Amino acid sequence: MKVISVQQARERRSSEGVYFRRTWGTLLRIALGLALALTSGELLCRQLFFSPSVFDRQEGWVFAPGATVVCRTEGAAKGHWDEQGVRRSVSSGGLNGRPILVLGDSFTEAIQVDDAAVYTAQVEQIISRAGIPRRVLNVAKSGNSLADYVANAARYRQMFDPIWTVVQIGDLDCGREAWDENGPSFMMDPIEKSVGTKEASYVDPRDRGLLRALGYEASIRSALFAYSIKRWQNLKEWWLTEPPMFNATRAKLRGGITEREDYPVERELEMLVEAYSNRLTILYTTPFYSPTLSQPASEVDMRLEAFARSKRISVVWLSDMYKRMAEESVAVSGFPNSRPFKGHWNETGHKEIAKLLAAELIRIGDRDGIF
Amino acid sequence: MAFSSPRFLIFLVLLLLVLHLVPGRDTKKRLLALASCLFYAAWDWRCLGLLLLVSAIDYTAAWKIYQSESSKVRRLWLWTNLGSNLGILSYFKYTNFFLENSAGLLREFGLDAPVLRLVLPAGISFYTFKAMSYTIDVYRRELAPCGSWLDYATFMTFFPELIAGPIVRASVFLPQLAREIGPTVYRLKEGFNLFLLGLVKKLLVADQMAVIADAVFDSPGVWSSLTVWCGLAAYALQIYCDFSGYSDMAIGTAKMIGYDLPENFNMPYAAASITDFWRRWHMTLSQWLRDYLYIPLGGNRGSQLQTYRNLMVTMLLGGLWHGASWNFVLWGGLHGIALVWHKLWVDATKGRMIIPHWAGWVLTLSFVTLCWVPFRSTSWESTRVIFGKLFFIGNARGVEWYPTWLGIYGAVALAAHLIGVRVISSRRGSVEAKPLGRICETLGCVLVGNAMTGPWISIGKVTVAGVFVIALIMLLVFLLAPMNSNPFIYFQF
Repeated sequence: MKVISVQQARERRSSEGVYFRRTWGTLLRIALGLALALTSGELLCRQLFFSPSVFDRQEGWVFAPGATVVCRTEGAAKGHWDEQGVRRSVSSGGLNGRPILVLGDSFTEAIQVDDAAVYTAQVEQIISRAGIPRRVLNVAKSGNSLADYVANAARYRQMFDPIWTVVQIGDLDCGREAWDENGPSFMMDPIEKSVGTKEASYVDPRDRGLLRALGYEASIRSALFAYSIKRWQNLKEWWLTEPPMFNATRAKLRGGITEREDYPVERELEMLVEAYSNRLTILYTTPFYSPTLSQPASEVDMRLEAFARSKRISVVWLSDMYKRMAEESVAVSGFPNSRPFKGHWNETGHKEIAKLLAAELIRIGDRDGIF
Repeated sequence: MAFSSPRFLIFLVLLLLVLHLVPGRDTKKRLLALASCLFYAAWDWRCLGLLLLVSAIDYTAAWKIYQSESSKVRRLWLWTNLGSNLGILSYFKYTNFFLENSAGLLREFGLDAPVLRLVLPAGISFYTFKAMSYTIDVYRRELAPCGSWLDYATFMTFFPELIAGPIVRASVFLPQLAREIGPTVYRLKEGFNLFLLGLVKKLLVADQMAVIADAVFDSPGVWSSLTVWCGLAAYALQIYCDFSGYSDMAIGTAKMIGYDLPENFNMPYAAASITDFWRRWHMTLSQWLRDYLYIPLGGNRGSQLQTYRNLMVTMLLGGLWHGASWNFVLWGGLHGIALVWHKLWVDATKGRMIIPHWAGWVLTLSFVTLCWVPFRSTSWESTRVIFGKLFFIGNARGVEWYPTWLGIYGAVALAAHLIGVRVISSRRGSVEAKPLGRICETLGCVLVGNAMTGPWISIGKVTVAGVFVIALIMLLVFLLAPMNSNPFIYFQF
């Protein structure tokens, strides 16, 4: 056993004390630095992208009642939603009777533009001036497809009792996205050989264990946490599209969705029309044009056109407007912080779409006298 | 694997761990060489064989040159080696360029120009120059040949600088092979700081600017003249941050492993003359061209006309090195003309400052930026259209787009330049700095500075400001970086 003197023992205790203070001091400095960085990150996220969301057992993730959504990653806008998930109206009042319901995906949800700039708000103003003082309710949700509108028709009728419905779709909404089982989807009954709808099986994250429950609470309170989850998804998708090892020069994208060979587009559209009692207008968003892109009409585009003609369904086609604006070198989509002619509609796009849709609704009103 | 990809980060962490745990200098070197081969083969396993072949040829040739006393034999081995290196480079890089340009002539004889489907091996331009510098230095008796094939293979395959430089000379790297490699606290701190700096430049600046530049350069006729100017400014920022960012990541990675690589950039956009620009931009290439092309041609030892000729030849070949396209030759030629003109100017004014420094800076930056047009353009037609738009010749109208990100980064770049230049010039080589000064230095370094300003966190002391800066930067990269595989620009050369 090594014997040390009292002096040596005192020195050892003193140096241990210094080591102890230094270690805790370093840890405290690291903790403070990290806390400052996370706080800065939270403040940044709240300015950059903040969409307060909650989980609804019927609809999955939805904006929280009364939410103000900030989006500055594409466009620069603040949008407001009420308790029923309807985008806030900018009308001063005087609108009564059964409303016009507008369904759609992220293009109609339009978090990239302010409340007044969304085409639904502008349609409300235009048709009101034309003698149709009806509220136009925007209940669009990002990621929706044709299957969502069919599956939720009864619920919308009960909640809003619309006099007319506008459904915004593109070619993918009638195809791949409507058969994606992550939400309400179409399904083929193998025995009956008919098309039906399948409810989404949303699982509440609060029922999936303590960690998920804590994650849920964090994501509804912290913009940084919620945005980080989204970025983590992006990172996982990036990982899947990395070129294959040892063969990067002959890379093909991995992942992706297996396409069915043929979607029953006509049957899907029939189900949509029946669900809304033939009181609807389809706002059709493809094919898209830009000064550098002339997208040919897809098979779905042509089949919808044939269907609408045969069943006399009201359709607002946007392709002519896209072409005209492209020839005038005016971008209807894209923002200064993204890229013109890419991404979601900008203020100009919403304005042009509002004109077209309002004109169609006025025409229907004059023709059928229903408003 | 791109340095900015998650796969590379995992590869690097695993490699550092292995180098830390495995004992023995030679074992570590073998593992490093093996890891480098795996890294290179991850692009395309077929190209690894070519790299090893080139290495074997050079290793053998260098020894033959060294062992021979006859100058004739030595010269023969040198030219054989240079011929094989340049032949391999020319075959993969310039065959189709030559065939396309001969198409007209071949058609006169009723022949169709064939098109060879050749894969351009990644980094071939860089490692060819690296290999040639080794044999030339041995021939000049400035360097003894490498005694060990393992050491030479480690040098040739060293992955941080294999794909896109810095072009490391054997005289710089080979002596370092005697040291014990593997991560230490000091190396990790120094290397990580540089790596993070490069990652920020690449992911937060270059990739954001790429969205603007690609949109404008891919379809220049669509945009208005002012938007084309924005696209050009975005490209100027993109190429600097992309390339210098890559160099920082390469130097930082090498540092973490235990080797020191030369700097490649020294605030090139702060240059006040074109000659000064080429002393700051892609320094390892310009030094290589000076030592192995310009000086052997005669340099400035002959008459004035001969000096100008040598400058032009060097710059034209330097342009061609970047890619098999007349656009690159034009770019090199423009810089050559500017260098010749500057030499004339200096000679005429006898080196006196006739114009203020800031005017020289504006002129140099403007010229360099305009020269990026042929460098980036996809064709002659595109170059013509862009120049037309820039100078409002013909149809100046088009889609108006004034990108927000360009405004933000442009303002930050200008502020960072002013702060960075001040901070760097006032430092006396001190490692320590006050937190605010360190933040300013970081800001300056991110866009226009370089890695020579030292570590962000002082060695041996962790500060709140240092942790805050590093953590915030990592958070910003995670939150704002485009999550897609955007290759580094110089990977295509």
